[in-house]
Amino acid sequence: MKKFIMYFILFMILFLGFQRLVQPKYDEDLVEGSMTSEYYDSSKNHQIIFLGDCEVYSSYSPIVLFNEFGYTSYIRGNSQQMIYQSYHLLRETLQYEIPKIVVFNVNALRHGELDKNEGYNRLMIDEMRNSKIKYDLINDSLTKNETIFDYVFPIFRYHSRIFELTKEDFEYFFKDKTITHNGYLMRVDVKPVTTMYEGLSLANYDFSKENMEYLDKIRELCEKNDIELILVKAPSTYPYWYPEYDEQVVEYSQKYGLEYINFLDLRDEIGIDYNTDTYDAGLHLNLSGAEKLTRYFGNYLQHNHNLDDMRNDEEISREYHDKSEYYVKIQKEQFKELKKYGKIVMYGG
Amino acid sequence: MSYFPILTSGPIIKYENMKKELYHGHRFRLCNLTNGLLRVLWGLFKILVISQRAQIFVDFVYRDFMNFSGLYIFFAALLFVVQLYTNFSGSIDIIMGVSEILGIKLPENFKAPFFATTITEFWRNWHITLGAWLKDYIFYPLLKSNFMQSLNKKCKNIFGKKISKKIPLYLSMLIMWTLIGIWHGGAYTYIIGSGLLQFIFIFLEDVLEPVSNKINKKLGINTDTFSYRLYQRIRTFLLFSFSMIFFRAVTVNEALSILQNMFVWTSLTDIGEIMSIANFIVMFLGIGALLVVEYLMSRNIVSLKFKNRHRDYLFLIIFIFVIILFGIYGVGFDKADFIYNRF
Repeated sequence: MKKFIMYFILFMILFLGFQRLVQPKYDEDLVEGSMTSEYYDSSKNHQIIFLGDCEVYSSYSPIVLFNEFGYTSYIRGNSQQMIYQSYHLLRETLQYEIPKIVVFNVNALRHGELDKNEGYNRLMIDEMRNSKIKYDLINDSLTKNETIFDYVFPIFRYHSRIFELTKEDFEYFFKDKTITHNGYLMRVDVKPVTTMYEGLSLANYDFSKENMEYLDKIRELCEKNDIELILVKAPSTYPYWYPEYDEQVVEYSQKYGLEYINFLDLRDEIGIDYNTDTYDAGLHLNLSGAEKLTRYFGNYLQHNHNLDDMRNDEEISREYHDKSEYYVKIQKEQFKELKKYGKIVMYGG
Repeated sequence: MSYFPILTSGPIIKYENMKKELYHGHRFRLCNLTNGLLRVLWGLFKILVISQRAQIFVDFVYRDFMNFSGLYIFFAALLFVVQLYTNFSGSIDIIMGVSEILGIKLPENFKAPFFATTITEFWRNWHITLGAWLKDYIFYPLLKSNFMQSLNKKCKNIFGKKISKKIPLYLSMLIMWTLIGIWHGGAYTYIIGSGLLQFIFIFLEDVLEPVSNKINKKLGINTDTFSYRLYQRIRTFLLFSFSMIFFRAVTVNEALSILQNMFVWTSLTDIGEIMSIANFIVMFLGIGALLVVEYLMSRNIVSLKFKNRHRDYLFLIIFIFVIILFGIYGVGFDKADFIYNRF
């Protein structure tokens, strides 16, 4: 029996080791895969948690929000994060901390079953900590032909990467690089909007029943934990945000007394210039756009919510001081890359 | 038939031989569990590490055979036999392993067929239970039938005693091998590939054996050497691979075109475009390991038995990781396709 236990332990060490080795590291390329796990390393003192898809991780800068308003925040957003995934990430977040405000970007309400995608699922789930919540999240996210087994034991999904291992796989075996700034993925490059898209007519503009149920769940979870829920829509010019979508969110927010801010309607007031404030012709804001939006939102919070200014807290100030230095460093590096290569290369691709 | 681990492809068992095994109570024994698991892993190794890789190359070449020639086709023909064997015997290993875990012993279906020195011996070691069933229910009843007995008597007056004895034997064999071809699917490709060609090989082996012995004697060739046996093994493997070109092709005409293309010289310069070189290396190492283990097992030097020694644990762990890391399975690939079930 002693022998069996000894070799079982050896097997488990090797299993976990090989699993980590073949799993993509998301540090040099496809960096969006790091977003979920970076939260675990942050100090859990956030007053505001942002939830949503790429529109959140590219639109708000928690560093500016702290430096200029004293609010601590974290973005729990991922590429094409579906609403049920936001719900489970909120559940997970509440296991670590209870924020004062949850800001949910409503763009995910438009997504349906057809938008499920293994690639996006993987980016979000692969580095998530094991828990019952992760199991629930996987269960909701599975696409056809996928099994929960492949997510719980990613070695069985990525085993063929054994032939494709790179330096990155060994370099980041034990410790990942920090990619985001409290969940914000910085991009300083510019690609102006050339066309303002009008959406094609749709047969049905109604958000799905399932999505609305998950919005209810997010709202109820916030109510239960005495958290204020703010609904927002980032000022992305596409995919087109139909007035019919907006009406449904307005109706919902009025019904439950929630705040809803559609930043698309406020772009002039915010000062968003689509010639300089987006890096992909309107889908995502770049650093300039994100800082403008963050300042506007910070002001809004200052005037409408009673949040403490955490700059008075020495420990938190020190923490954000380091984060700010890293923020400036990455900003400088990206400008250097732009000058040298004509594009940002630090995120691979 | 309702014993779940047995696929329709075998091992083919007789109820009479198995009823005791199936209905007799089986107490749980740890050694059955470990030995059974080892056997299951051995089957998975064959299927996932070797067969699935061979299949990539074979399918690629056969699907587009008009654009391939020379070594590509030769190589695909050899690898198809490897694919067929590792897939089929691998699935049988899994069945045997699961049965062993349940405490049920099933008859072996393969005994290192690639070490056979003749086609006759090859078939004695390939799908053994089907061979036994065919002998019991087709070959012997045919041979002992009134028709064959009277044929024997009639031929005796014309060809003499020695030859007349062989005529019913060869005729029964011809019928049996044709039925094997039909059993595999009924198409002409199966009837020729797994039926008639096998009969021709066995017939020629039997008829030419005295001639071959005479030539060897005259040339002073020592047939009791490793190199001669190796030559015989390679010859058997090549003959079987040749017949399997018909078995794998969709039509007889396609098989003939493939054979024709095989003799147009082309080197394997672009082989990496079909499958990565790393995958080829893993496949050949896997085939090498398979041959070594089967050879040692056929000589009772090693066995797939777990004996609770340190080296058994280490071997088991290495084996599991070889399958997990180097097996071809999961999303993006078809799940291990037990190709033999199609027939």
